[in-house]
Amino acid sequence: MLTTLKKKLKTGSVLQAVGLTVIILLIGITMQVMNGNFLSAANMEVMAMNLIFEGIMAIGMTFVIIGGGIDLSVSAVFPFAEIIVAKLMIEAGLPIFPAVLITLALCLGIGLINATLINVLRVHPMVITMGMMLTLRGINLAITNGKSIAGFSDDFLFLGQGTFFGINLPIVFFLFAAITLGYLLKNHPYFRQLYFIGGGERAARLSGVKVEQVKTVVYMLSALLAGIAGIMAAAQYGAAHWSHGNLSELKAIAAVAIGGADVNGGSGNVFGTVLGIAFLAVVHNAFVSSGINTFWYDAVNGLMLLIAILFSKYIERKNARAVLSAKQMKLDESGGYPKANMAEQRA
Amino acid sequence: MDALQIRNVSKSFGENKVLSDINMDVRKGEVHALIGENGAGKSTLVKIIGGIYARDAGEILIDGEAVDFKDPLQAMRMGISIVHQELSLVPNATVAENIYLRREITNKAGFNDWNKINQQAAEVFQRINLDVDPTELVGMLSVGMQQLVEVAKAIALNARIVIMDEPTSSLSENEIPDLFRVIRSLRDQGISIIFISHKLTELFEISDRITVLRDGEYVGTVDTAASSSDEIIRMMVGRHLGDLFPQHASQIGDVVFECRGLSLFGRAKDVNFKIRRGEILGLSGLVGAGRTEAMRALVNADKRSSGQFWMNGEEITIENPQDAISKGIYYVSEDRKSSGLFLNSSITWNVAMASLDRMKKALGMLDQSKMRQTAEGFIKTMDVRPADQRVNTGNLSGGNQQKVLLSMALCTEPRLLIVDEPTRGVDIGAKSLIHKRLREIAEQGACVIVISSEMPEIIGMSDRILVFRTGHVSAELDNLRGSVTQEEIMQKATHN
Amino acid sequence: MVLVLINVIIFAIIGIARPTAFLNWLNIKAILSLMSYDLLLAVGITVVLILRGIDLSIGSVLALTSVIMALMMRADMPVLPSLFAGLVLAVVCGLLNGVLIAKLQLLPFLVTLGMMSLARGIATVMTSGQYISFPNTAEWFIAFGRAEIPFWKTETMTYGFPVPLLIALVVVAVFGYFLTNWKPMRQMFFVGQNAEAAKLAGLSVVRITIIGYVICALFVWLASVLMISSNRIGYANYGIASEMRAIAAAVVGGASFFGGSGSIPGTFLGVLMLALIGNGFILLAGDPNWQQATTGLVLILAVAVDAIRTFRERKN
Repeated sequence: MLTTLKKKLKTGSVLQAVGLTVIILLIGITMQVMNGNFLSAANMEVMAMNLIFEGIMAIGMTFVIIGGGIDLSVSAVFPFAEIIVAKLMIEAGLPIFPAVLITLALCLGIGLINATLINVLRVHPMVITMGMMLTLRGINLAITNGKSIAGFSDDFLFLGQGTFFGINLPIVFFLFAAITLGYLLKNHPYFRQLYFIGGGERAARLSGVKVEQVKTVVYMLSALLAGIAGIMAAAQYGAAHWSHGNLSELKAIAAVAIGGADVNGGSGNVFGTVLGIAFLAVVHNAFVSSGINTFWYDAVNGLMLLIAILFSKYIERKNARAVLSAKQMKLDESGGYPKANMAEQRA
Repeated sequence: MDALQIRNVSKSFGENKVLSDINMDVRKGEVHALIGENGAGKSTLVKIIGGIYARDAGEILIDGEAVDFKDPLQAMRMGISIVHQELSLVPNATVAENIYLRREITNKAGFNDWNKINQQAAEVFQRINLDVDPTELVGMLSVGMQQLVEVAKAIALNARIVIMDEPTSSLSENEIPDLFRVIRSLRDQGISIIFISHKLTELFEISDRITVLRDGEYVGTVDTAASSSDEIIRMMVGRHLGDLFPQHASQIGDVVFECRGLSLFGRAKDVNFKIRRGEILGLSGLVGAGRTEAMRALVNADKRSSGQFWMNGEEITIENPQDAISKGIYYVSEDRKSSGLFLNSSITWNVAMASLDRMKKALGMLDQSKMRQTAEGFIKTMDVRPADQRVNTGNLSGGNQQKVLLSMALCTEPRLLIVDEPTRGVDIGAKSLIHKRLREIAEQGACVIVISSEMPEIIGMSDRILVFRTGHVSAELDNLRGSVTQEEIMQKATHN
Repeated sequence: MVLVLINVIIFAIIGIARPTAFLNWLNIKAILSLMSYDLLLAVGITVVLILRGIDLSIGSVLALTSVIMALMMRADMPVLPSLFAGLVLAVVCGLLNGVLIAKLQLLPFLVTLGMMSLARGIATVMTSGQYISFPNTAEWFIAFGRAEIPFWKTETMTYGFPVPLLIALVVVAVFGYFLTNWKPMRQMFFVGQNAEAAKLAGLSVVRITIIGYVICALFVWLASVLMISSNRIGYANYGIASEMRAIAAAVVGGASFFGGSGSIPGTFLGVLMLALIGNGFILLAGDPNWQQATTGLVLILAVAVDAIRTFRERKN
């Protein structure tokens, strides 16, 4: 038991998860001591709701990043879903169910386009998803003329504002998605392939992994989650607006990276991402409740991302060093060319 | 019935014929060694058997039945597994998961049944008598252990033929017996093993028969017990006819450059040598023996862990390739495409690239007419074709690319020129021109170090030869009269 | 050449469809004036693309420098020290990007994505999201941003050339000359084309890469100076999504994500094309909102063309 624990601690990701939990608790305790209301149920809920939509996107981003990719377009898919569902319900008068279904189908289509372009053009996913983000954001702006759309039915608003056993629905969905997708990622052979793709596409292909197909599925999953987040957000805010979700891709990536995933692919898990988003939420809340200028928040997010990728690099270097050390041992034991012999040859 | 029969298999890449009329039979339950010099075609043959490359001609029969694989998965299903030289494992997954990738054991709901996967992996290890914890992360294992996991992965799906491409290259001395134990137990279970290695001592220890390839051709197959390492070496090197080399050095001067205690962490250790005016020093050894690594460390292209240098009796430091070039030391990369030339730029820019400091006008503006003139000069002396300095080097043939790469180095007027595989993949005409130019440079008073995997080139060009083995210099041979034999070098490169 | 043709065609289409609204000096001047910022940013991006990098932080650094300079001038600092402070800040941002990318080998887009959020965040903190005006600053500084050099007078109006645009064009032209002819800059193309070969040929790859990011930041600073001089306010939301427009323009103009290519005239034409398309949407559809979507599509299209081009070259 103790040895397996020790063994696990040696790997960077577990160490990072433990460290992260400790830091989150420390911040929480400090805030509680200073302000006294940090651990109140009301504050906990505020804290959880604050980054809940970024959290849902971050789950999809975890899959994408483990597979060696990145999806910047989620921050535009999010308001896109808000707007489409609003247009379908308020302007076209569709009932909830078909409206939501059509919206999600469109989001899946966006993921499919992302993946297809990435697979066919073989360009870095950043570029493709950035172009997609820009295009979608422009479309969002254009089809709404920059105005927000409001006037949802109460039934729809329930999706964002209602509760389930006293917990807000978006939080329920986040937990549900984190647990099911986390379980799938951990245990389903299909999603396990992601680790092999992210670890080395060439080797994965040699072992029979269908790289393109798996990538397509995860980009569609990422877009789908961003779409669900968008629909819930529309219900939560009671309005759809094109500027919602700006920079949310950054928070999602930061959460994944802080949660211990390698930004170059091959490692990470949903639990880490949940910790990462919890960390960001706690930091945000600390800024709000301690009266520090909340505008610091963006700056801190950027800093967190930088620190997370630096840490990721550090782990990578450490691993490379370990491989070289093994080779060095081999060099040391195989012994050099005897000096005396060399002199003899010269003479 | 032989487990695997290869009949008259041929393969070309473009105009380059890499395999012609290969024949080979592998019996059931034997260890069949495949050996040949660098570039003899072993890896290509293996990839054809494993369904990674398609053959141009010939037949492959498994248990007497002709097969035609379209992809590696198909070959795997037919019981052929390859243990590649480069590891294909994912460090962040467990040993068991790596073994069962794409053939996972799942429960009724379609999820991985980790218990069964771990159990079965444990059984595989039991079968080959190996003590590995299947739940361990692969990244936590030593490189040697990972290699053994590769083997386990290869046999986990009832493989009948296991091909191992230099499996010992990353094993340490005390890990090799483990691998051999595994191989023997596989053989005893009736599995055929094709074992590729450069190391003769290993082949004689483990194999039942040995097949030798040379320059993409089949030389012969012998029973290991009835053969000797001398015979195998003779079969490997054969007779290379028609290679004419320039004369050896007419006059060797004083020591110009000396290197002491050069090491690169994990790659090369304690390399020492001196080189004299007018001398060509050849570095021989197998691929991965540390020749290239040591020379890259010399110019500090890869950060060396130790090393002291003297130029004309004065100790010098070499901070980076730029510093090396300014002190008259130039390293020409072995891979002209990925780390030598700028393929989207003209011959002019490539020739001038390392000497831009001498191509400046007022205010540091580049003197393009001087660059053009310089390039024209080199196009003439190196006989680059087409003789047009505006052509992008990406559009030149391999031989002409190599000439431009050499021009880039010569343009800096180096006192110590290090060329790595200067004629790899180059036609005969360009080859002899490059050889002639290298000798001329040496005769004009420079020192030249030639790294080559081609033995006739090493013997034909070098006045002295350093043989590398596993990161060390294993021998220093005087070759001023061209008296060193290929057998002698091979002996020093392969034996302990 | 193709780009010139495309620009001419777009010009002709809008010109024929909306002759009075499009072909009048006020409209053309508006296009050109707005272009000057985008041009400077796109040239900065061209430099990092040549080096096989990317800089997503330019829009935020633009905002941050504008805020710093505006705040200092609001506090009655003289103009030149204020501008200098902005310059120092821009260089620090560029250096930070460059060092993290070149020395520590981190992925450029992640580093600059972090910097994007960091710079924008700091700018927002310093201003609490407010406009920062500087009413007491020297007259000449706020004058030159809107100054014009008259070149033709008729009875009804004076045709003048905006000074900021002139400055931008001159700087970019001079830089373009240096980029192709000055050794330290020309080397960037080779570092971007093949970093390993460049290292072995004795180029200081790390230093050159860092300098590239600093140069990019300098262009951002210049755009920021012209912007606050013309708008007479500093603002933390300046330049949102401008990095996307800049990247699209540079790639349309021949810069490649695979490094080693890109040119200043090409980037100029790319910026012009995006500006014309944007203007065309306003005049033809009456809806400026589609402009952003077009930029995204143009970016994807340019990337596709670039990928196919590179793929063909590799095959050869």
